[in-house]
Amino acid sequence: MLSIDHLSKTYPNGVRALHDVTLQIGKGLFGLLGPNGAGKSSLMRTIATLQEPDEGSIVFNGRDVLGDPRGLRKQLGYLPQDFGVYPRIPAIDLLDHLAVLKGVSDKQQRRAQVESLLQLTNLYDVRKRAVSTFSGGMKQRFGIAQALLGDPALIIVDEPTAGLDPEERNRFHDLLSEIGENVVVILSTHIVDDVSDLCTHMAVLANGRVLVQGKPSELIAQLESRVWRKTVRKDAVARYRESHTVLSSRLFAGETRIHVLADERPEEGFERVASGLEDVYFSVLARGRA
Amino acid sequence: MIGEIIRFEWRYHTRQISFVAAVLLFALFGFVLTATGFGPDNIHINSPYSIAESIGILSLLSVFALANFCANAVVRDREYQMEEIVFTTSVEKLHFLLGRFTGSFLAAFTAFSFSIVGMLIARFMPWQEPDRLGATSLVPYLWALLVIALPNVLFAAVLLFSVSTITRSVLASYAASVVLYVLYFLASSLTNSPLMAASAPGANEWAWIAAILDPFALSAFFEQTQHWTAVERNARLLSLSGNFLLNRVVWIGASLAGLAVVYRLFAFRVIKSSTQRRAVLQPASTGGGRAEATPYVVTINENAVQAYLSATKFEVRAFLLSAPFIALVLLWAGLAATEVLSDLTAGEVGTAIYPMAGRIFRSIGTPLGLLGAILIVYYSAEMVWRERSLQMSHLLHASPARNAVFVLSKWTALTAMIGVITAAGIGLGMGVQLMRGYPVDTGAMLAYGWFCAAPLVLYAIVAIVLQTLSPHKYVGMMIVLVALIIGQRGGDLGLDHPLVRFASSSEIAHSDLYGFRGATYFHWSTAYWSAIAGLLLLLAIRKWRPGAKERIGRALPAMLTAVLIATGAVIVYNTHILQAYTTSAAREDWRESYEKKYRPFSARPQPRIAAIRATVDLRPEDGSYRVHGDYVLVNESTQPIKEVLIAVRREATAVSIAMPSARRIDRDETYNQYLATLDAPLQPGARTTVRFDLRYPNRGFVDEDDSVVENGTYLMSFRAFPSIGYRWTYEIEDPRERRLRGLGTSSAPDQPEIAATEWVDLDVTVSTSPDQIAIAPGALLREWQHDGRRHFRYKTDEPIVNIFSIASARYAVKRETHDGVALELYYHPGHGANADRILRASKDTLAHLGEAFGPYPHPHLRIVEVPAHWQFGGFATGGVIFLHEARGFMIDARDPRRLDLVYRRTAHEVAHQWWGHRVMPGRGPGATTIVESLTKYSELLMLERAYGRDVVRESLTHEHNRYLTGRTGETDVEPPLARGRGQSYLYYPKGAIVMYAIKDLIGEKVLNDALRTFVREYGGPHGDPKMADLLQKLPRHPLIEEWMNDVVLYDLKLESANARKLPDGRYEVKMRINATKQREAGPKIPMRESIDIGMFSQKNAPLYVAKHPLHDGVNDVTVIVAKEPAFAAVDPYVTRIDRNRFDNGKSF
Repeated sequence: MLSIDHLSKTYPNGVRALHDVTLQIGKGLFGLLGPNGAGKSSLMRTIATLQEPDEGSIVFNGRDVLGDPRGLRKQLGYLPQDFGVYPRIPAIDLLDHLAVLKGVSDKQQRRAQVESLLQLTNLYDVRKRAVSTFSGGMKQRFGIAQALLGDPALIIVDEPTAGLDPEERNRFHDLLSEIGENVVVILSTHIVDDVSDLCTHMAVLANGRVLVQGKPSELIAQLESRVWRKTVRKDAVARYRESHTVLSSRLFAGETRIHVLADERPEEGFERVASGLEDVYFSVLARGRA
Repeated sequence: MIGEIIRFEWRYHTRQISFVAAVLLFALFGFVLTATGFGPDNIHINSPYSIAESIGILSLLSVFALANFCANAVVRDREYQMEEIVFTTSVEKLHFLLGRFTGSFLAAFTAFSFSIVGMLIARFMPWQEPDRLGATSLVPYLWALLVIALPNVLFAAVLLFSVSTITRSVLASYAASVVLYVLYFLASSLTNSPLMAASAPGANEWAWIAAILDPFALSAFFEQTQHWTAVERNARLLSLSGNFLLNRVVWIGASLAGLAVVYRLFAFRVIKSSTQRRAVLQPASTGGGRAEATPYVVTINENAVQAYLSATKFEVRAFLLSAPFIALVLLWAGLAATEVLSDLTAGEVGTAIYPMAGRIFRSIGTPLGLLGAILIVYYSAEMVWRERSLQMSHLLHASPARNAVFVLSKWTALTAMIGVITAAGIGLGMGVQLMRGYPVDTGAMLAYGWFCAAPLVLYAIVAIVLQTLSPHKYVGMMIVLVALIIGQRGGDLGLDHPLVRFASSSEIAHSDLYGFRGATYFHWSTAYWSAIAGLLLLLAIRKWRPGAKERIGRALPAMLTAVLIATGAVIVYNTHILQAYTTSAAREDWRESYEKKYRPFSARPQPRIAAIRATVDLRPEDGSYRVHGDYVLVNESTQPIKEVLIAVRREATAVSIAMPSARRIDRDETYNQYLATLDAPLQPGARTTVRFDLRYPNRGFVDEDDSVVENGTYLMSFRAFPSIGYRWTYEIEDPRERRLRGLGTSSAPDQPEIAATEWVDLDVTVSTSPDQIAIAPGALLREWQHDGRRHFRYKTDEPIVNIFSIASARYAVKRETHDGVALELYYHPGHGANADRILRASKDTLAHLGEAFGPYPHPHLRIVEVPAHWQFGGFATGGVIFLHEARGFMIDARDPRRLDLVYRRTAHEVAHQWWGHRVMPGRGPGATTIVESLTKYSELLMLERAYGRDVVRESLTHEHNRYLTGRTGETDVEPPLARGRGQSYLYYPKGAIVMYAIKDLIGEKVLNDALRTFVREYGGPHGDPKMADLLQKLPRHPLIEEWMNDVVLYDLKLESANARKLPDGRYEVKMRINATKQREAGPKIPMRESIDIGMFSQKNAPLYVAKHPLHDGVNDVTVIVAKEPAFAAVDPYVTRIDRNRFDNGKSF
């Protein structure tokens, strides 16, 4: 159980990355959704003890994280948004090294886990190849393999599917949901589908604030029968934005389709649609901007 | 387009914080160089010479700063993952490369140019001495910038740019810049550049190669200016001609060629390694179903040691096993081998030397230290910033591994690099010893390796700490560089005290006699600095990860602080309690106030010592000694003496001075002076006695008095015994320092040993360790054991000059007799290779000089080895000669083609038995000329008898160069030879040339007879001849008059020489000779004198040597020789001082 309490962080250049963030995160996959620059990575890095907050506390399974960062790091698996590796080092060697750093000191155990993770991530055949030569998907799978070293109780994955093709992404999701059965997994993303596909709990972060949190299904339920859709001309979108709460506008087969939040049918031509997580997300963001 | 790229590149670089840092750095360096009075003391700090030298040296450093600009210019696209974006634009390759290069080069050169701003500011600082300031003009600054800095920076920039662009690796370009330094080392050791302190002056035959080879042109600069006098150095600009011009052309050409190569090789696309391409070609490996993972159990059981070892393995793999480092080590081994072998075979005047450990490390110590420092600057930056630039740090920092794992593994890798280059040096040294059939000295070699490596290892810590705390890699690099320079040159900035000078202790001397000296101090100092480095390391460990500071605990810092305090206390105890700590400034103050207080005594008559009866108790075990006994004093003046000033060296403690005839004795503690007031004035001719008892205790491990050592004691009388009257050796010698302090001229015109004209009867008993032999002047009356010490009593049978030394060591002895004189050679067992050669030279010299100048005055002649830390080659006292370990006993004289320096040096010291010990001039101008020039003459006579005229010519060629080089350091107006006041560039080399030229002019017999009369008339006590007395004995001759009493320089030039075969088979040679003679900066002097013209065969045998009358201007000379000549020369045997001897000959 991870409790984040009143976390704030302002960078030296004045950017306020986190503002009074409070979250309760239990076992299972937790989705952290937000637009670029919302403070997701800041929050992830703070939980991963890579930077310190100005204020607030983080408690994991009853232990203070900020006071004892190494205590958390022993149970932590972290996959940063973007990472590089030492050149010319084979995957198996690098995993072994990282496992040693994680504290898996027993050689037998380490070998067993490294090999097992290589199989799990389907990298076993390329284990002797340098990680720096991997394709994007392979590298990302390597990232998840290293994050799983040492059987962490808390796994943080920051924008893991960015740049993956759909097949890679599916495989990645399978992996994550499997892992998420027993441990706390925090998944940060700006892709709504990632959360809706995987997460049992979620929060939306924007401008460093938590705008909403809860189970995706409950959040979706709150918008039940309040989302309306209409196909309009492109140049009309601006007008709708002025008069209605437009959640999203999206090109669909060459035409613009807008979603509008309203208790009643706002206008002729709108049809009620089943609300999705994306509508939740945009409604929250819209409220946040207001 | 290209303009746009240049502009962009320029803007990019000049807006980086590292550009600002580089500007400040160069301004600072320029400022510091000029502010600390860089350059020879006798020329202006803003003279064209000093400016050019400063700019040249700074351009050496520019390679570090350039890394930021040029190494980065193309590689940064890759680093910032911009390659794809840049390479897909419409930029043309030529424009791209040229634009990037020009922009970055301009930025680099602009940053460099700020050094002259620093230099100019420093010139106007209030502390600058007015007499070291010349008129300020921008011209010499800009000229140096143009002809030295611009091509240098260009070349370095091209090298870094091209290597990094072709390999797209910054690391490879670092390796390339190390290669650049290696080239520079090689060139400067070949030229014996003044920048390389370790190399001996002398041979210049390779100078021209080095002058061209040195990419920084410093060798060419030194070659062009080597004979410039102070006046010229203050006024002349470097001339863009000769080898200097050639050098510039070669290296600018190399730079342009480098750019062309880059253009050809640079592939304008993203480089993918072959494995990467394979990855792209194998989509199968990314597809397919997932294999079933094996189940496993994992327990977290953190093991920091294991993590450290694993991390270290990765660092070693990345840096030590990398191609650039391996190439560098091989290159270093090559350089070190060249350096060692060339130093071993080209020592003083081109002699060879046995490969002792100390000798080998004298060759490689400095380059090893420099290479280590360069490695530290580059690799600490690469290592500390590696994970961050790979974007890997988050992966590692999220692991529970302690910061120490990362910091220590990086330090270990850096240490291993230092270890590898040190081991390469040691291994190479041992290989050379093996190769040359010398016993391999593993212990000493390893110890030297430790002395070289330990400070570097500590510097590595400092570098890692600074990089960890630095906000930026290249800024960090500059900070590390500054820290290194402060550490090395801190003394100049007033960081005098051992506790503030990073990782440095006194110099470590090595001698086969006693092993290492100064090692104890080194170890304590290293322990002290290790504690500080340890604390710094903890700081780096604490701050390594951004975010939460790692807790270190209190135990380790407390322990390190305890070590710091304890070792600091031990050092302070040794530097402050066991002796009075003084800074060099305080010592100068002491000298100044002594002079002011006591100089009046120099004018008052004081009695002289007529007899010494003393006991010297040496304790080689702990370096202490005691001197006690009494003097018989005699009033040789014409006035009664009321007060006697007795001076004791300031280091003596527990002194008692007693005088039965004195009413009272007042002690001046500050100067250890005792002023005795006599009961009744000492009348002229009357005698009295002084009793003294002086103790010199062990003064701890920082003792600068290295007279009494465990084995190989060499104690000079004026260091141990009290003296009577004013001690002008205490006066500040340096004329500049005297001017600063308003002291006027020194009363010390000559060397100390010449000043004493006291002649004494000596009766001295020396006690020493039971296994050592003690040596003193006089006949050995008795030798006995008492109280576990060995005692020797020596007594002279004739008065000797009151300059003598006492030696003690576990000597091997070789005895012979020659014509009733007992020859005794005392040497370190194992140093006997030259024993027979030394004895032969001694016998030859005794025989020939005895015949020429009068009999040798003593019944014995002892030749005694002294350890290598002494600064002289040989030192003669009455009947006893001290010969240097390395410069006498360990010279490898086996090669008959080389000048036999052992023979020459022995002959020189034996000749001093006549000049300096038979005839002793009074103090005054020309005194050293009498002693040393006549000795030089005698030495050459012996050399000619033993080895022939060619060897004399070789020796004189060295003297000629030594004179022309030496006179450039004159701080005053150069006096004529006869009025020399202790200038060693006069009395040795010029004296040798002039005396041998006089022999050539008037004949050996006439000259020797004149000298024999001189010895007869002035030899022995109270002779006190002056230079005029010597000149008066020589025949009148205008040339002798001119050479002795004037400063004239010839310039003889063989313009052309053509040989023609005559019908009778002989050869006719027509020559045109241009001759001038003039005073320095004076008008030409009419010339009409006979000078040798010689023809030589292919094998350098003289076919024809005869004097021809030459006048100033053009002379046409025709000679006829029997055989075909290969070489013609004017003045082949160096009888004239010639501005340029290189144009005196022509090959056919």
